[in-house]
Amino acid sequence: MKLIDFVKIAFTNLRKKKLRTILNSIAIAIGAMLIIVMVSLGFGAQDYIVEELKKYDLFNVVSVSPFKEVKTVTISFGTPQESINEKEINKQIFDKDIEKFKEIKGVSHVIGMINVNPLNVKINGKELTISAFGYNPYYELFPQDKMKEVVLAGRLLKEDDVNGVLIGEKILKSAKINDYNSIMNREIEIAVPNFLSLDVLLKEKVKIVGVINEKADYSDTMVLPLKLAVKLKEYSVGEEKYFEKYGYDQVSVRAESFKDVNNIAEEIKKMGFTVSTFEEALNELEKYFSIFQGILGSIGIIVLIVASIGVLNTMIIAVYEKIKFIGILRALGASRKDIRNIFLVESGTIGFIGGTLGTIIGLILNQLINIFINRIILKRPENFVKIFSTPIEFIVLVIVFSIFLSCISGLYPAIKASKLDPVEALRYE
Amino acid sequence: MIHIENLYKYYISGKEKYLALKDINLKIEKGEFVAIIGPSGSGKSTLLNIIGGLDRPSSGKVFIDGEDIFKFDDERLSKYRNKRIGYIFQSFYLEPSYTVFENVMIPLIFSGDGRREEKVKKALEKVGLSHKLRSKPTELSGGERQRVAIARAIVNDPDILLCDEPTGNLDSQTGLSIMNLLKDLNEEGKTILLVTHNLEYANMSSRILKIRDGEIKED
Repeated sequence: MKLIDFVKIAFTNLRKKKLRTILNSIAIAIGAMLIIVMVSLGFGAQDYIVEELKKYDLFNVVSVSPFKEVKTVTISFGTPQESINEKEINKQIFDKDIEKFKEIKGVSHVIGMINVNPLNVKINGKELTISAFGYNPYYELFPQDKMKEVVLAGRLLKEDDVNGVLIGEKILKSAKINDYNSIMNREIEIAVPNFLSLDVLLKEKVKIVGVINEKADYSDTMVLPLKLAVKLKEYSVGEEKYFEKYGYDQVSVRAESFKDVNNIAEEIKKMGFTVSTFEEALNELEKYFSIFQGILGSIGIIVLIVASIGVLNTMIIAVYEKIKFIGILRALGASRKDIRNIFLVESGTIGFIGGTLGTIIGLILNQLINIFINRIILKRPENFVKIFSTPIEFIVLVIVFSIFLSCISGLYPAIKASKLDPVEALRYE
Repeated sequence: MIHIENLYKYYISGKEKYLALKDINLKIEKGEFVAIIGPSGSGKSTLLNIIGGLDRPSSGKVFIDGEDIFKFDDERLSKYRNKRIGYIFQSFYLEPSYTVFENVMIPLIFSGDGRREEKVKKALEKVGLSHKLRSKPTELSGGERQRVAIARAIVNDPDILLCDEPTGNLDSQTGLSIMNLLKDLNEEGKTILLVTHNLEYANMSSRILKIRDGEIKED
């Protein structure tokens, strides 16, 4: 017996009991629709949030470290954390490596840093403890396209700056300085504690030459010329020739787009360096989203299960109504398996009709809500945001799942039908 | 072709054992037209159902062309019913929601054969109903319905026709025409077993079996 014959018989039987079929299908459809709408919200919200996050530079950055990988990823926004004593050196990064990183396809910007942390600074009569880093002004601090918005006052560092520094807007704000131009070229005192004692300080006089916009990276740090940073670092960790020994503490490799991040990370890994990206943090985030989707989807699944109990009920009745027909079919050469399959396909067909119907209604509903959100709430028609988004695989999955659940419900009546004694079935009135 | 050996069939209802067939030994050759007569409840239909592989004997064997059909599994026994047996019932047993064409096609669905349309049309032609292809059984007369049932029985070209009082629900004239149709099929080489109450029809056969209380009393 061919599947097409089963399907034809199923449709003929279902057409005979239109109302019952419609009611059953609607129950399934409501379940399927709920799954589609709920999980689409999950998918859409996830896509939306991930896309929004990807707009931040953060996700375009591959962080290269000379140290061996540390299991815990600390997400630090422009404030490089460090605890060198606990780290084991892996492979030092020098200027020649930075040149190599620059040549990797998709890389837009590379900068190497020496971190100085903590750093005490006296400004406007206040003492603050901040973090700082030094870099070689031969490289650009920011990608070319970001330059304009970055500097609020003054300028960036030049290669011949010896004690000129940049200061982040956030630091100035916590020091209650509002007029940034007034502090240009002002001399301030910075100091780092010795590695043995926090009270023994190395003091340096520096000159503020620029202010970094609080919306940009590094807006809560001080940016130093490399040589000065190395000097402070050597004092704070108590090692001479720090830069020659360890190279840069950290190198930020910026990708042109988020898509390149993984490739770049792989390339650098191949060179033997330790890399980390925010992709990993993003994966973690996606895990939470699956839980979220699971919770939303299970509401629909519960409805589907209730609906399939309805199918079970219908199929039990259908078998009773068809006892005689089953006897006739057996007399005409239907095997037990044929009878079982006829009823299985029939219940599966209810699932198919309901699942498809529910999916279509769900998709229409999603689209309507999307249009509503965009027009009424977000009011930006030029940039359509899909808060409800449904991957095609998921649509197929929902329909298959509806069919599957209905088949499960049909299994018991189908097996019962197949086990009927044909002679008694024929005699049944 | 049909060879029955020491066949017993009893039913158990509650604590009572009811004997339906008792030590049946029977040989039927290919092309025979056998009428089985006897009072109601004498076991005629049970015998027919056992030969058709629809019912199982309590003991004894049924050989068809030397093969014990009750050694077949369900799949093979169903195939046997499908390919070699044609069933014709007193109350036709047509599916009212199917058209004539669909009703006749049912056995072909289970045999999985191709050229269905051609075979259905040929069978309906044989019973003189090729013009009623798209009708529903409810639109047909009793005689026509039985002809559709006969077309359904022969659509797979079986060699044995099992007829359980095929004229029981028909008036005598229509009954006679059905009998003539069966006679024609017998002349074409089909082996026919006919259960009937009507002695006139029984006399149209080539052999009469009288059954009483589950035993063959007269052959």
